[in-house]
Amino acid sequence: MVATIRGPLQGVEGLGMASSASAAPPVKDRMIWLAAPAFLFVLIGFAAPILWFLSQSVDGEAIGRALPQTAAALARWDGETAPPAAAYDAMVQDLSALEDRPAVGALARELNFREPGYRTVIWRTHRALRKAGSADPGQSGLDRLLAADPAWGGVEIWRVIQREARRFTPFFLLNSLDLEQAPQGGVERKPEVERVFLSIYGRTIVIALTVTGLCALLGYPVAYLIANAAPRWGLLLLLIVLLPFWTSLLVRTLSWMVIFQRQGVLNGVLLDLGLLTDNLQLLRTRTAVYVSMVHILLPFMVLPLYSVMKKIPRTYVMAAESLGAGRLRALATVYFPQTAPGLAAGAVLVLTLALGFYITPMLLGGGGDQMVSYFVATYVNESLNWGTAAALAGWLMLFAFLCFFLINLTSRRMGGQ
Amino acid sequence: MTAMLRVGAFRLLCALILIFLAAPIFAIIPTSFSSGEYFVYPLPGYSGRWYAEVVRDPTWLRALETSLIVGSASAALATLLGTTAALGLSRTRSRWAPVIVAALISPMITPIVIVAVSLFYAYAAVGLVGGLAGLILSHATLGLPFVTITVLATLKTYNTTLDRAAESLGAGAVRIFFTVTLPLIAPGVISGALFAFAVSLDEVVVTLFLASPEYTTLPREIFSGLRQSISPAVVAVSTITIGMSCLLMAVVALTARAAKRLR
Repeated sequence: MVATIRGPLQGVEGLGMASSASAAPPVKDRMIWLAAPAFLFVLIGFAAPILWFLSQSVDGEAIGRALPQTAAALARWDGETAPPAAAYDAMVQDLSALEDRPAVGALARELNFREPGYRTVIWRTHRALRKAGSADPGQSGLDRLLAADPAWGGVEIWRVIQREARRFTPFFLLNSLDLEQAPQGGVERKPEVERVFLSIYGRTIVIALTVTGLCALLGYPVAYLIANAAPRWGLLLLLIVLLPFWTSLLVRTLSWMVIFQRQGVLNGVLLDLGLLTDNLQLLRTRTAVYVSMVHILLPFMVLPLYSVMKKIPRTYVMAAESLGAGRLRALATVYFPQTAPGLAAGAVLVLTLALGFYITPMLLGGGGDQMVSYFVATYVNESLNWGTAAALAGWLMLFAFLCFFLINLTSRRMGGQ
Repeated sequence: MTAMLRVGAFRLLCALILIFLAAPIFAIIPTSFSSGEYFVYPLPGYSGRWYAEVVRDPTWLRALETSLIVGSASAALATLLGTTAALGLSRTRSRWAPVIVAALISPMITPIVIVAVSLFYAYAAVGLVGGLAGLILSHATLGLPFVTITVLATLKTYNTTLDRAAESLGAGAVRIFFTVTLPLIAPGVISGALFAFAVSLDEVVVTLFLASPEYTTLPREIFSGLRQSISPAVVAVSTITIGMSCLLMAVVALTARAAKRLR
């Protein structure tokens, strides 16, 4: 029974692969085609959308498409002296050619991602050009632009347009690492006040690692107890572990909200016991995030550990003890190394899952406890900044997959010895 | 004596951890019976009024309906695809098999927000956002790894000589599958389907991005009830979903036990 309940977890442990290939003796290799529909389904319905979304992090087409003539006119500009007069005229023409508001909005938004404030410049200029109608012949492009917004008189905005009006842009990938392109070429760190993203990755990694460590600390003894209990008890204890595992993540998060609220269960109980005189602020703290995440992820640590421990014969530790090792020494030198694969499998699961947490920190944590996922969602929802969202997502996935394969690799190497 | 103390301390530690695991769920069951207007502890009194309210509220009922439709349709799709895939994967020696397994499992380890945002981006381009079809397809994608892994695990212990016996008696591949293989791996398939159903029933992040107010699911409705102050009605609905989860878990356990007896 237990084996079936743990089904999905078992598969992840064995992600070292070949598990599927080694099973059956009758080899008919057209059998692989049976997997084709599912493979195509995942390829088209999952992998392609993910790659398409991630590709937004290098997509710079929006600006070049909106300003084709300007881009052409700026192509040979050195970036130091005043832009060529043709560029001003081209900008007037490009902006006047943008007929509907969504098109202007898209350009304004994209430029604003590159440099906050450019949104206003674009909108203001577009409005002014519209109001003026067709140009009176004596007025130059620069005059018309300057009449709308003084920003056109500097080189800055032209430099940004020249740099970003390309098919591919490194902007979002650099920006999401707190880096920027230096005006004279090359890459440099952003000024200190503008650095935001590295601390978000740092926080995400710290939270995920702390949760993984806590899960290992708490999960190990519980798994040991269950694996070594009498069968009847073992089953009951396992059910206690499995019940939260089957309960919806949202509901478990809600239950922690109920407990941690200002007038919630924990504060109420502590007040009743006279341990507190005033309500504690528990919600929207890092502690609440840790407690709930450990609670949600603990089963993912206990179950793989349990399945490994279940297979370790008791006689090994007994043998070590009979040879004179103390109980603790026997456990540490004989028992623990054998459980390492289970520990690694659990750690991989907990760590990769923890890195992607979203709902729980959002509902239980404060502003300083939000993880990368939160910012991916926010950049999409609040500013339609697909480029930054995709860049953040890309770095997160890269890191999650690296962890996944690194731990898998080390655990296999350990298992091989 | 010290040994006994050590065992006692160890058991106490484990008991505390197990209480920690189970406590939150039991904390919300009593609070769902609050008689108060807002959620506060200590409770002003006990009543079933919030359950009555939930049962009468068309919003919750519609959300439940959508959840059940999306859950069963996506589980059916995931089971169909996953079972066929597992069958093929368990009987091939192709070196592509690990690649395919990795692809089929990838939705499980990709951070859910990235899945949600990507599917939103792609589905928007083909008009799948806001409808039932989008929810069903996305949930099937998320359920597929669970079906594949569960059925693969079941097939590992499957005795293929049975298939060969049927073949020697003249049965074709399709007939063998439906009369010999499928009945024997049915418990695994059913567990996989229930896993996929449970995944769909829990799903909130993808649904947040893909669902319209017209087709909102139970978790999504709970979520919007959480953003403001927690109403006891939300806690009541959550308690009901805990009951549903327990039921699912029990069915999976019973199926597994039945399978063991057959073997």
